[in-house]
Amino acid sequence: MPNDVDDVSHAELTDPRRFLLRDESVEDYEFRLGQLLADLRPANSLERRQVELIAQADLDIERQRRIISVYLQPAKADGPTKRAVAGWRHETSMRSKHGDDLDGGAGGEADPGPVFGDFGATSAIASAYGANFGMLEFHYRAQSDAERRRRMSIGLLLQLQDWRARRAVPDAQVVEE
Amino acid sequence: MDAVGAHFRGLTGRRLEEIGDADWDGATRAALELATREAHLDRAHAHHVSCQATEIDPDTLAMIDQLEDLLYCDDTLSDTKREAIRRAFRVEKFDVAHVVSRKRLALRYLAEAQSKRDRALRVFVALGDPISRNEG
Repeated sequence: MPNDVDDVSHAELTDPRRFLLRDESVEDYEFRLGQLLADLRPANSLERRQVELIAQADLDIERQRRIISVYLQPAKADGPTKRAVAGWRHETSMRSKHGDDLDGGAGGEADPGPVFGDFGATSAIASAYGANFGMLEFHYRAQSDAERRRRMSIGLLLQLQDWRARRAVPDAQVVEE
Repeated sequence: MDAVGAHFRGLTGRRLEEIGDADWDGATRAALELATREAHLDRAHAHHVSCQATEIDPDTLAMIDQLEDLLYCDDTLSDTKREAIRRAFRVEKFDVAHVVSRKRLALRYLAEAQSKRDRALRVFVALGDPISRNEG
């Protein structure tokens, strides 16, 4: 049969560079895939492809979490237009107080980067959530979609392995005494 | 087409060009269908990932830079500045909506590609598997 599911000689995994972003590494992906291959023990190319899809979904879940966390940073509470207008307003008000000899400090506050355990940042995070609601709504949905894809891929892999195991069982024979 | 051929070769061990008219039985057709769906899934996944990096359009950012220049220009009337700010906000809002819509569309393509591929896989396996054929 052409679709012999026990054939292991034609396994081809997709080049990970096709679906990795700049902040993701090929080595990390291959390590994750290697662990999954060791855990789930695929026996043929169909099962290996299924494990690959599980690894891709895994990666997508983490990616969506990372993106959501970026959109919830306090620095993301303002869009570029709002930042430009706020900078201009700040400089105008400083100039009206101190005159034209104003030096430095007018360029707005530098982004302090992610800080953890800062409980006072909740209101700024809530503002960032409100300002980026559209994007966040999409990424939460993308995360739940990736989780569903992962669940379904695992289910299908288990089904494939079950079919393979049952094929190895010889047909029952009627014994007449 | 190359991607379909590679998946087909992976599934059947044969090149697509080698299949003659007489060889197109149910299993071979199912293999071709699955290979096509696998290639679609790869493309949809790559597209979905490439859309994740999509941020605000560079032209919009350039426009916001120009807005800054306009705001700092003392010769410009304040009404003009106010109108420019209002329009910049509208463009930015439209741009974000456009990015979200692109991402959403890519996610939908991916979900469709995945479900069609899973269906093709079930058919492909069932045609070569007497147990699941009996279950169906």
